[in-house]
Amino acid sequence: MTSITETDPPLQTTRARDKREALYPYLLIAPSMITLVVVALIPFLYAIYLSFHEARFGRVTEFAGFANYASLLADERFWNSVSVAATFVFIAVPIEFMLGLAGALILGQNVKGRSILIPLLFMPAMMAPVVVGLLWKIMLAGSWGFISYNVFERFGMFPDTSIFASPDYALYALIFVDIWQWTPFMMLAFFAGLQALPVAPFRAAAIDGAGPLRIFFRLTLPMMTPLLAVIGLLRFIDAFKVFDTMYILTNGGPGTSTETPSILANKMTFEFWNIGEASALAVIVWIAFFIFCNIFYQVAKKRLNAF
Amino acid sequence: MTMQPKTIDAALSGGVCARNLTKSFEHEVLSQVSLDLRPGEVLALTGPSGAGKTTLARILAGLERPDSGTLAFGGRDALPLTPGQRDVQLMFESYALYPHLSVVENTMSPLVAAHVRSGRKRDKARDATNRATTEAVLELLEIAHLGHRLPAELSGGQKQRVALARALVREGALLILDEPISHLDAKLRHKLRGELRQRISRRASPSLWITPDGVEALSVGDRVAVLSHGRIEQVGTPEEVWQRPANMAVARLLGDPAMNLIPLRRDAAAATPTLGMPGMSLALDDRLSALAARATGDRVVLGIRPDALDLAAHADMAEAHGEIYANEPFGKHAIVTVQLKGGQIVKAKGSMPWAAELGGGIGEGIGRPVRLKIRQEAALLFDHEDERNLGFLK
Repeated sequence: MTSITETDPPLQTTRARDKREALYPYLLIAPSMITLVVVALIPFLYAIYLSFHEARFGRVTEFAGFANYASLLADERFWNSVSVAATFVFIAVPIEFMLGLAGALILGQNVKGRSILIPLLFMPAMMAPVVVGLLWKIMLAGSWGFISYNVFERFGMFPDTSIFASPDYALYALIFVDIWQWTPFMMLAFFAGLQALPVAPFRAAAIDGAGPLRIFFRLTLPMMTPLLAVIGLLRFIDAFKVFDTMYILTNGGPGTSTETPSILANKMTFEFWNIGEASALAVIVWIAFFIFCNIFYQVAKKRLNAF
Repeated sequence: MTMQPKTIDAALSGGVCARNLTKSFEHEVLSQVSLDLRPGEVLALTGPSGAGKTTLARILAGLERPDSGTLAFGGRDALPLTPGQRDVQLMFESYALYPHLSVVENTMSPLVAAHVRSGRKRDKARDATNRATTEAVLELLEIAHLGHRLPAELSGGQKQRVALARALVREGALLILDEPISHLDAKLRHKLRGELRQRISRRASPSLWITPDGVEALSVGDRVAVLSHGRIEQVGTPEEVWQRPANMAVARLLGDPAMNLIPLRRDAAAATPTLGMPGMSLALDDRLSALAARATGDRVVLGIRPDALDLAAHADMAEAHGEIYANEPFGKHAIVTVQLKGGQIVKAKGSMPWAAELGGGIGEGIGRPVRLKIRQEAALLFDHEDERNLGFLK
């Protein structure tokens, strides 16, 4: 080595390399970022733009301020859809949650044939929602549906008609389908969490001489809360947004008895062609969820050690 | 070796009596382990890692069932009993703290659990007593200021002390401490070793103190049990185990550095009983020659503690030759490692000036020739075949 200039590359190329190296991570995340921007961010920003404009039949006309929001919030049909969704979510999700947890605990007891059972449990969640919808439409299709004929008709319920045509019970049938579809998934998610719990604290509890109930409520459950919170939140959001199965089974009917905000937005867009107001609906739902999720996140982080 | 009576000893009414415990997982972990824990005693169980110490602890506690053997608590068959029913306090080597409970709650859990089991309602007086007891234990272990932290917010040594506090907070039928002070810093370890020992030896129930450190076992145990490869090699007072190790496994484990074990062959050509190997020749005194005569073959292993090995540069100590392999100063003493002519490594322990003179400077002298003399009155002889101590009478 005689001098520095001989061994080190010229200053400019080092700088260029530094620049390249700084760009490298961005290069790696670029494909997913571009996808995200194109399919999520741009449409979302466009929806916000639309919500402030008069847009009917695919033509964006003049700026409307908050008019879309005002007419939406004054619309009884909007509030009906919120209450339908709330009923749906607050019945379906807790049941899925508890059944899932109970199922996970049973799976954890070294059930025979577990390795066969687990792949089967994935099936409802793996099915396309449209398929699930069609499946249950047929199963509960009045006098020729497998379940409706063998169960409902036998006891004189919903004669000659589908439960999905009943204004009083259609929503509960939808709830049932949702439970059917998502309980096994919850079960598997909780089961995985259960299996991942450290074994040592359970040994300590055995030494302490704690009974099974006490172990469950004071040890298993608290140790699982972070997972329960995350899975519960995801399912909650997902249940609120459910569209496909409902679209196939009832499309909001009879009347507006099963019309959730997703179905309503769809109708507003493709039946009433009031795109401005439909966008306003989408934005309101988004804001509500944004606030809700943030509150949940903060609480879960502080109280439950989740996230 | 302990005697192995066929029936459970009724005299051990308050103690624990294990007989012929055997346990295999993929291979045999415990083999015919018999052990008595007498009321009030501290039994130190030591052995190299993988010897089966923790498995034995878990069988005694009831977390694991032995494949065969019997176990009695206070003369009563304990094998059908759950850990809670056995009333064992176990400090886990892995701590096993409840991750969602604070230090105070973790420590208090055995008290609360016992209270719940008794079926009585919560009352304020009991709660206050529990709290006070918990505080006192945390105080002893110097972690009272961490009371409200969660285990995840503690260092390894702090977690170990919480686990220890939880095991100590309540006296049961048996206390098992699985490596209770091994992850603490040296200063705290020295302090706690004495305090902990004093505290648990005041108890009426027996305690089992598990440690891989033979020296720690000697200092804390009323008796010491040595476990190696799933077998109990020796049970005895610290003096017995130290002075008369039953076999080479025990000798290897106790002492720091461990006893030198030098394989030698009886020299048939010599006029007087002599042991030798290349570069070493040892004319035996009467005691050692009598012991050597008991050996199965003509090969024996000489055991000599590092502090009973004289090293010098002088020519008059010509029992063995070697050269200095390492010269390690430790402040108040030094350890000189010597490679004998035959390749055998031995360690000698002595004062700092001694080591400095030998090496020509502190920590120096590697490669220097030295001569070695064995203090025969302090030496032990082991059989080369079955590794038993030839001077050990059952």
